[in-house]
Amino acid sequence: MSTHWALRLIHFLYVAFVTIASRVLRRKRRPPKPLQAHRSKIPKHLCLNLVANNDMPTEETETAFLQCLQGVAAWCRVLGIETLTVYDRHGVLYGSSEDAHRHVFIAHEISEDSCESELEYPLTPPLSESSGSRSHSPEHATFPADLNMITMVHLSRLRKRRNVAVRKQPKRVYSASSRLTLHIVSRASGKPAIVSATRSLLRSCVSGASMSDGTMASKFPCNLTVSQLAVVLEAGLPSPDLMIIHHIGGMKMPYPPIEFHGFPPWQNNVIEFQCVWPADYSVDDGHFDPSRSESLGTPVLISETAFCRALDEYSGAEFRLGR
Amino acid sequence: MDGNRRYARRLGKQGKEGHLHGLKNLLRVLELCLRLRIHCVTVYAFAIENFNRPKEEVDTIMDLAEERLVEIAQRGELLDKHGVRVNVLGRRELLSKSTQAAIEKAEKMTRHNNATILNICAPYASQDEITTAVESVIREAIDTGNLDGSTITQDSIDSHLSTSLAGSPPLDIFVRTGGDKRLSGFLTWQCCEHTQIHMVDTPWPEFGLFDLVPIILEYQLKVWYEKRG
Repeated sequence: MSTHWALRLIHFLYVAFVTIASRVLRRKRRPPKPLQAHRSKIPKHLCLNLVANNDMPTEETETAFLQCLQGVAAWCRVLGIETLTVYDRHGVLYGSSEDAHRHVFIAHEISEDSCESELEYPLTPPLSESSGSRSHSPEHATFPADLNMITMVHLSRLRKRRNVAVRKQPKRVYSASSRLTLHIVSRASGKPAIVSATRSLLRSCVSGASMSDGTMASKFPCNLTVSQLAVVLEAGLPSPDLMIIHHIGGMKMPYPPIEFHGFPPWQNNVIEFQCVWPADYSVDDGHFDPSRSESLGTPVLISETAFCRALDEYSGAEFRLGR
Repeated sequence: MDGNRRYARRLGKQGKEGHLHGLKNLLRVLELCLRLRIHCVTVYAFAIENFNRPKEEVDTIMDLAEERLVEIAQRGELLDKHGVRVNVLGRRELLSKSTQAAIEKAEKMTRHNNATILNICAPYASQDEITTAVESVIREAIDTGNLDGSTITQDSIDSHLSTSLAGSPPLDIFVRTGGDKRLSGFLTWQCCEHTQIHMVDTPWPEFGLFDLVPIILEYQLKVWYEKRG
């Protein structure tokens, strides 16, 4: 009994220490560089891992996810990050892919006044078809697998604005094109996709090993290599460079450690990951302090400050790749 | 166990000398874990990718590994007291014959122990482990005549991972020392869900009780919150 109370006391002291330390660090924390500031490296492929609060209604969760996705997609375009993967464990965004399309691509077209856009769906049926839009590994893979993901590619060309005599605005400089590939994935794109690949390989081995008289060859004919499995699993979803994990329900003190919430394990080999902590929110962003208990019932959107801090940390990271 | 070379360079020594400090600290931390009654500890000693390092450094690591495995095997009293079983997981065929012999000796000496498991991953890579598990599952399906794939599930692949074959329970806590925030091909299947991830700035040779206690406290909080629902 005394051990139990001693442990509770240790926990109380630990939580108190962490709370005070966190508030002190928040005051001392330097703001991150602005979004368009120079950084030594920028990820080519960014992943946003959105974590829901179990108590939040599904509609609110979906709205918050879509808003976070829209914000991050816009920042990716500004920085020239051409591939964005958005992950949520339960497939909320996978189920609202049309809304995701609207938030990411249509909203962008309206805001940039672009007149031409091409939407490509590599390996995926168009959204207007049945709701089972899925991505499969390429046909040249000897054992295709069901990756349970949606990929959208958007290429927009900005219209060149003509000079108008009465307007005294400088000429705008346009980039030739702005391309963004969006992958929408869920837990089903991880371990279940590996199961799908395994079953597919079994079928491939069986059909390859059957003898002319219908009996099985005695020796297992298939020797699987890492690169063969990688072709199947990574063709649809390559590994991101940076993963930002964001809890839309906010976090109570003491903030829990990072978890991946079922993110595809094959792709999580060398991803640099950053968690958005409540201390990363800037008051100037207009977001309330999510560590306050009265605000925990409202979704917390990812802020530009938190996004920039994740980029700053990524640009400072050292990749030794085993060396 | 990251940060050995940076620790050594900070002391003005050659990077490869940090591995000696790292291996010494492994035994210290293992003893801490035993005292805290942690049933299973898995350490990442050497990645398959580490063979890309300069030959001299790789040879140093292999020599140290062989010496320490022999030392671990010879510490029969400590291992028996805590019932530690040593498993070396990964592509041991890539190691030298003498290192393989030391591994087999250490595993044989501790095979009868069951209370605590120490998994030493060397040389190891998660994608390689997953690929091997996939191949094993297929082989088993063919051997048992289950050709429709119905026996192939997440649980069956999980059970063929090297950690599961060594009798390890699900992974509760993942710790990386040295400050880097990535998995670098270590236990990616095992830690992708329900595992707390801790990235600690302390380099491995300096990792100790003061780093471990907050990690354990965080885990206890999670268990309490989950019990309360």
